[in-house]
Amino acid sequence: MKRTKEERNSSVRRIKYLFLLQTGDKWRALREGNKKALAFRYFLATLGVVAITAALIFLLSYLKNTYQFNLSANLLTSVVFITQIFGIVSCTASMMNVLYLSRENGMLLAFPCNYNEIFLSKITVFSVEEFKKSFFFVLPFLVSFGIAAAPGIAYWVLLVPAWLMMCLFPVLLGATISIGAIYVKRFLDKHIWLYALVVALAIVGIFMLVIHVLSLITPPLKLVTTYVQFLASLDNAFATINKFALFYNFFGKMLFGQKIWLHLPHLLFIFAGVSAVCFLVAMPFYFRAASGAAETSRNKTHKVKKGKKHSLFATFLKKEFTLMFRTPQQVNSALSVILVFPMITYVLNIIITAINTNLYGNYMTVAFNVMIILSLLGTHNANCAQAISSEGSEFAVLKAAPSNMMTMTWAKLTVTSIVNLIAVVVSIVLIRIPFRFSNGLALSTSLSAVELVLMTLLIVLFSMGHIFWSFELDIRHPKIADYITQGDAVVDNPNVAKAIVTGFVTATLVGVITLLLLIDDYTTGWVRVLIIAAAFLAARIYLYRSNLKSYFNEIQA
Amino acid sequence: MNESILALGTVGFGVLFFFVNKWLKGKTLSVKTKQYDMDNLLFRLLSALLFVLYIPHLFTLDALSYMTLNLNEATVGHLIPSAFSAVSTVFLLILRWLTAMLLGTTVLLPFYNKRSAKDFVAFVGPVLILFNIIFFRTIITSYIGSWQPYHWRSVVYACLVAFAGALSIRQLLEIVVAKEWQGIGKRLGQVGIYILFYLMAFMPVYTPQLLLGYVGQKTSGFVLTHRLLIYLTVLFPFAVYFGMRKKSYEERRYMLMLLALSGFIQYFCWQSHRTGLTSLPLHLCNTAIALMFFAYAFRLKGVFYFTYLVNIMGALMAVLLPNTTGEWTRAGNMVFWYNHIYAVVLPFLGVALRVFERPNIKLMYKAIAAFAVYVLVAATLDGWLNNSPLNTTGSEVDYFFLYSTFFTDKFAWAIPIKENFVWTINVSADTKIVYFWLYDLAVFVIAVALMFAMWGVYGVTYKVGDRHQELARRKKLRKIDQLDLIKELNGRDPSERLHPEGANMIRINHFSKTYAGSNRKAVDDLNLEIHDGEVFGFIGHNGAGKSTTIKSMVGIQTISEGSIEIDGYDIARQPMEAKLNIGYVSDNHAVYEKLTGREYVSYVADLYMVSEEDKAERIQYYAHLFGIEDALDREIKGYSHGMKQKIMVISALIHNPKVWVLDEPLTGLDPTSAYQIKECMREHANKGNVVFFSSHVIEVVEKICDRVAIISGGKLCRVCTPQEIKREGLSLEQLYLQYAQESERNKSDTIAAQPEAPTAEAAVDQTDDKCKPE
Repeated sequence: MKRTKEERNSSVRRIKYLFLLQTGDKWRALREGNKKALAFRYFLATLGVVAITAALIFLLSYLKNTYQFNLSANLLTSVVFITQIFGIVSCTASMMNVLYLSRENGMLLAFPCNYNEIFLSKITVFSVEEFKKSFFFVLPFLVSFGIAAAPGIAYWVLLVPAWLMMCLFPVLLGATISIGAIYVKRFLDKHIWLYALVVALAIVGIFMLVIHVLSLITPPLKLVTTYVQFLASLDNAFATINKFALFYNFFGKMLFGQKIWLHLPHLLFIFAGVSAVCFLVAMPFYFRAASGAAETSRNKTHKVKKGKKHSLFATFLKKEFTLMFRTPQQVNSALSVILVFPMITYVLNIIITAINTNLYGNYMTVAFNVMIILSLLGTHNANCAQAISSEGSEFAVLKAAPSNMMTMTWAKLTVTSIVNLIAVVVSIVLIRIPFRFSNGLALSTSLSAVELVLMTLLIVLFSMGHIFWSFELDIRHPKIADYITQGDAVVDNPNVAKAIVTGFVTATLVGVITLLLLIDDYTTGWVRVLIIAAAFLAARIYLYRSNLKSYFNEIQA
Repeated sequence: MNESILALGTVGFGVLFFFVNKWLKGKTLSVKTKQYDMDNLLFRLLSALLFVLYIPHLFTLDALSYMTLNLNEATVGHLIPSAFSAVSTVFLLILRWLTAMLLGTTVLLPFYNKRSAKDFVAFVGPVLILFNIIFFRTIITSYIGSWQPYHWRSVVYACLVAFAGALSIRQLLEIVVAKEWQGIGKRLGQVGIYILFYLMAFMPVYTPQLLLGYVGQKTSGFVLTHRLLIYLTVLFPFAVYFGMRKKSYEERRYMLMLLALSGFIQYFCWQSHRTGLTSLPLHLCNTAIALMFFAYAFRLKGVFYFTYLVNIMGALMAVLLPNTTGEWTRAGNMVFWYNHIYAVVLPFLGVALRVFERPNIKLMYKAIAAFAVYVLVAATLDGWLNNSPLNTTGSEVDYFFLYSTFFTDKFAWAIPIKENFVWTINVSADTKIVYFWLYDLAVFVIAVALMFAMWGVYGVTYKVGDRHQELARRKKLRKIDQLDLIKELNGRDPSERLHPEGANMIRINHFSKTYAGSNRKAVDDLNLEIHDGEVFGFIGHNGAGKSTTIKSMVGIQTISEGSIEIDGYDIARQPMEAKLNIGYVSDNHAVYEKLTGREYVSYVADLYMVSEEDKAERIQYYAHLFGIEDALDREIKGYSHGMKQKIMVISALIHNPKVWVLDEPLTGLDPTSAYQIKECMREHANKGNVVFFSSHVIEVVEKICDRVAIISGGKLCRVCTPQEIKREGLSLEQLYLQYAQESERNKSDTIAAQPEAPTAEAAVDQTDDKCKPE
């Protein structure tokens, strides 16, 4: 049956209302907020965008003029392709949550509107968010690249359509892929070990891929000694990456004015095709997939071994581990820490082997590794900044129980510490063992076993200190109410952000102090930095205990 | 000048001063509307005079400061090389050191009421003055290089000794006449501590040079001595802060004033070594020394905040990148370090010890404006004096390093900025003013940026400071609570009941709860006693205070006022013991949904230390009772609302609590589940336990409760049995509705009355009327 114009109009109106409903608070704040404050916020945001653009212009011009980097269509395509891959992966993950797992689905699906309209409204909301995000990298990058590379007038004419398409492609592809992904996710959620295996394999796969990409560049990456060779291999690496870039090659070529008449229609055609697939394939599946989230309540059975009584600490610890192993996100997070962090460290170590040629090469390698590993662990430690709050309404059980709060929190700290310790050990082992990947790329560290052991000790002491610090943030400013209302969907916990920042600042300071002390006197330098680390840990434990005793009673569920 | 005349004059003047002072006691001088005590006024005048007499010594020749006992290092001309032996030189040094301290203390004596300072002046002062008189000739020689009895320095120093001696004698006589000998031993000990505390502050700057010669490293480039001085700069203020923070305001102010005075002395005593136009104290950190002294002496807020916001930043930079020359023992280097450490420490401590309040952003803007003027003046003086015949010595005038290459040597990128943007004003044929205007502007902008960075650091420091103060306060309160508990227990073990007579009961005494950030009491002066064997219903409208009471009762929330006892244990002070006797069913199904029912109940049982046998038996019993045996090994996530509630009930009863508290347990349950839970409640009470529950289902409350409490607007309205209500010819529902309607009416009255009577008193009055049914 053909829809009348009035029906179509009302459909558009409903999508508009659905859009407004979902953007709710943000939209209202924009319209009804303090005009001066709003103008100031816009001014700051604009200033931020301008600053990012200026920084990128400076960086690209510097690379071009000082280091003879070739700002070619190949480089542009590679950057666009890589950012789009990240965009698609992140959009798929976010789309799964927004489209199918969101708590508001229960409310939206009950409204008197077509499911397609809900789908479209969600896609619109997401696209707007993507546009907003693009102001902070995609657009500044395109503009700065245009200024630094000066590829011609066509670049500026086609900049806006290219930017729009770059924002929308990940959304449309993410929405389409998320249909399949949600079913895979549900399956894997039910088989947690399989899930862990898949995640681990994916991480190792990405690691191998990165190593492969790095191997395309001159090994080892001694930039100073083999610079010309390095530049040539960099170009070669971009060309190789672009072999896999499919239609993203058209972006680079089109913006550089190469066969616009061919590449622009191609891109528009592909865009239309992706949109059609999204609306024709994903949209009809939307309702089934979204309502499935509520219907498929898992009824898993776990047998408990009878006749076992645990100490209080073991009781808490067992509960923490049980919940961790039954929550895919937590398994994912632990695997990321245990596998991804060491791999990042390994890759960065490949790059920094070049500094071994320096007079203080070894000290710098130690300091750099300490800084990198601590920064990475800091992001994981930051979870402790929501350890109590994330209990949500369940916190009432803990609060009402006649148990020592210290024991309960120690159990939580133990879980994070164990994961951290494994990550540190794996990182150190990975640095120590010279793996050999394709094209002869290997890490040949000059650090001795003793140095690695001391480094491990140093990292563990500081990381433990940061764990206590993060925990303290949650004790002082708990956000339990947020977790009660939003569940695990709380993404803007300021304590976590603060913990990440403190972790990063601590890591940087520790790196600098380690370097200075080792340069000053190598042997006493280690002793002094370890004393500082021990003092830091002792101070953090003291403050954690004092804060816990002083504030725990006031935390209210 | 004869020493005996000086001695006689000093004693005579001291005695005279004492009697004049005594005569003036009680007499006042009126100036306009203000009245001044005459004796104190005289005292102040004399101490001011003492300071005035001391100033010439700071700015004029001091031969001793050119000396070194290490004769091999005779690079500086010795004005009195053979005048003293090593022993007499050391003696002279110590005498001067302590005399400087005495003079500083005496100058401040009439302005501050500090016991140890008074005792120092009274007991140590006369001895030091006596030595000054005996070695008067030697002292004068050490100052001017030879003994000249009628040299103006000899006359002034004689007056100085006489004044200081007179004030010391007056102080001693005050003690003697008033017979203030109590605790003299302790007081002398405190004088010793006083001397040790302030000894370094008054150390003559040439001490290391005099005793050790020119030895050691140059204090820059982060060598050991430089690093030690950096640590000292950072740690010293913290050490003083932690040592002084609990002292009285008067003591803190005195300490800072004395340090400011000693800083002034330490800086200007080297003035005679400086020559030409470069010697004016116009470098940013040099200005701090004078500014700090005047800021503390006359409480000049604007001056203080300038040093706090501008000078500290400059001094810190100087500490990190010092422009010192030669070995660290050189007196010139010591002056540099005294100057810069004081410029960091004094403003910092001024705010940290709350002698001055924390600055606001307006003061920051004012400081920036003043700083702009300073930079302009410095740039003008640099540009003028270096291009003027006035500068006869030819040495470079370089205030704030705006003219020299000091900065550009370190930051080469600034060279073109300095050299390419020059503005010259020709004043006369041989005088011009040269401005490196862009460079000066850049230095100013960078300094202001650093000021804002410091502002940020201050902000963080304040926060950290406040946090630690609050932590310390809470720690103290906890300790007081513990001591109170021990006292109340009267020798009994802290795990025993605080009030044994309250066993098997809930006792709520004058309980009030105010949430953080709110002025309104969510619960106001609630009193209840619930006995064993009772099923007690707690009803009230939404927001009446039911859940607040329950949450405080089970220890989830703090108690603002009053107390709650569970089985004789105070929930706030004996939480572990009290909680062991409570079973709690919350109103929001707070269970770990990823655990199975059995795992969850086991977890709770372990928390309550239930034995393995009891746990297994009770899980079996209650699972059978509620018909959820089959679901026990499934994840709770898949449970229905009723099943979750049943799991919560089982976990609340797993340790067989004496008090079972349920917050709206029947909401959303099907009739069968509701019946099962009601039966369970009755059964638990019949075993001699207390069941306390809140509910909106009035019929159920009326049916199963032995007693009912109605709460409205945070106030307890009534406690009665269902039978009593019946006797009044009412149902519980009718009674409840009456209170609820009254509460609604009060609420709307409050809203209507708000524009006219928004006072807190009115609000309290209205709350008090909430519980008056028609």
